[in-house]
Amino acid sequence: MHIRFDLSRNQSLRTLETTAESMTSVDADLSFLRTVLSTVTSPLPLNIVIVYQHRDFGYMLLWPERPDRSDPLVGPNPEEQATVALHHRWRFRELHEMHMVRRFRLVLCADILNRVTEYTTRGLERVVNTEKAKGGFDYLHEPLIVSEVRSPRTRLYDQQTGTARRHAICGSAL
Amino acid sequence: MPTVSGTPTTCPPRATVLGPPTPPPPQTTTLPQELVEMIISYFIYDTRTLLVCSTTCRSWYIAAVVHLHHSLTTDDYPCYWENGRYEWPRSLQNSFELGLLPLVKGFRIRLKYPSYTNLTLNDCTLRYFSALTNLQELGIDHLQIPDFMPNIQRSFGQFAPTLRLLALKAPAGSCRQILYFVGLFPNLQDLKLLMLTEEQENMTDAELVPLSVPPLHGRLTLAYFTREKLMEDMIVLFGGLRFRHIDLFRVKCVRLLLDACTKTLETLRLYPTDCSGEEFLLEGKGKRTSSSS
Repeated sequence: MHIRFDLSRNQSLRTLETTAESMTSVDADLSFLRTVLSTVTSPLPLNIVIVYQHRDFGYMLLWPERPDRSDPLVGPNPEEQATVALHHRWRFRELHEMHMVRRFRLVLCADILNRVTEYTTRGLERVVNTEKAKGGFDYLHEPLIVSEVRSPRTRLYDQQTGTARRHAICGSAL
Repeated sequence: MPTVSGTPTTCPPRATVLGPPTPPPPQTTTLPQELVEMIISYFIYDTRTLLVCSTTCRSWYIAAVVHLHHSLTTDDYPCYWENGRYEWPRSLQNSFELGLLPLVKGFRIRLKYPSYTNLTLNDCTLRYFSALTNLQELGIDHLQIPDFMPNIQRSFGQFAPTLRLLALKAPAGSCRQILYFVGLFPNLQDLKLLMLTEEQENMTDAELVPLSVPPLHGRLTLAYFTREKLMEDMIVLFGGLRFRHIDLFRVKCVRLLLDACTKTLETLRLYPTDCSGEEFLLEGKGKRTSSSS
């Protein structure tokens, strides 16, 4: 099914990336990454990078920005928290199964967005610490890396979080 | 002045009670500009903080202004008339009149109505383009390339020396025309193509050859891309592909692309939801009514 993603010829491949959201989306195929991973024959050490956003921790951006410039996010209610926790479990279980297919170094990235940075970063740290305490990453042969990354945004998205002025300007419009 | 043994003689003298206060030397109150710039650069994504910094003092203004005007995006609205005056694109015009366009590194033109492209990107607005002397990233939605042919170089050629990233969303034109446009920028490293679906090819421009072969060894981003012939032509006309990073979502020619980058590909971004697009890709219809962004 996923023969389109046969990576057996790409001998300089170092990193496979995906988003946390797409791993648990309703139309996601959980075997997709394992199948692709099984085709990797590059002799180089492989990184698997999972990019998290605030949505993966149950936070939603408000639109438009609040007049009092208070926090532009709403947090998850208890029911949503349960779903968020379930998705985290699914992802970690899938990563464990991927590691059985091929050894890799795991990199979990918080995709930061200015004023919502702390929610994503802290949320990821909290989830990782909880999983570590349970021994959920004991299967990894190399240290887990938790870092921050900032994907390019559209102006609309930056404006939604109050980081852009009218007619102007954001970190990267592309 | 007597000194205590062991005390460095370079210590400043203590002010006497009755004497006037000694003003501190200037070097103790002013940080070197490069340090100020380094500190301010931590706020490159925080426009509000940058704005505050820019109003603090001249030193901070100089450090902040380059980040404040790094990116410029036009409005969604293609054009409008106000009191008979042609107003589009106001943000570009304002920045031009304030002399800020040389600071712009990223410029995106978001046009809602494709049919107005030629109207909005006329000589009046293209005149401002010449002031974008340091532009590195250019993004255009719904660019009607045929409307600019064959003199498209006159409109966009001034970006050739500096442009490193080109992002095209739903551009109109034949494969050769799109590649001709890409070939206008000989230093291009990153390419982003969104929403390119199969179209009837114009056979009259089959001999159209790009003016240059850009290095294109950075990142390639494709989303909702079913135009396999464009990729085939790119491989032929540019002598292969050399991208090191590839980001794919619902792309029809994945195998062709991966095979073309066998020696260079280092990072691949993919999505487990991609498989749900198999039907979308295999049918080759590729017509979507909603935006990918």
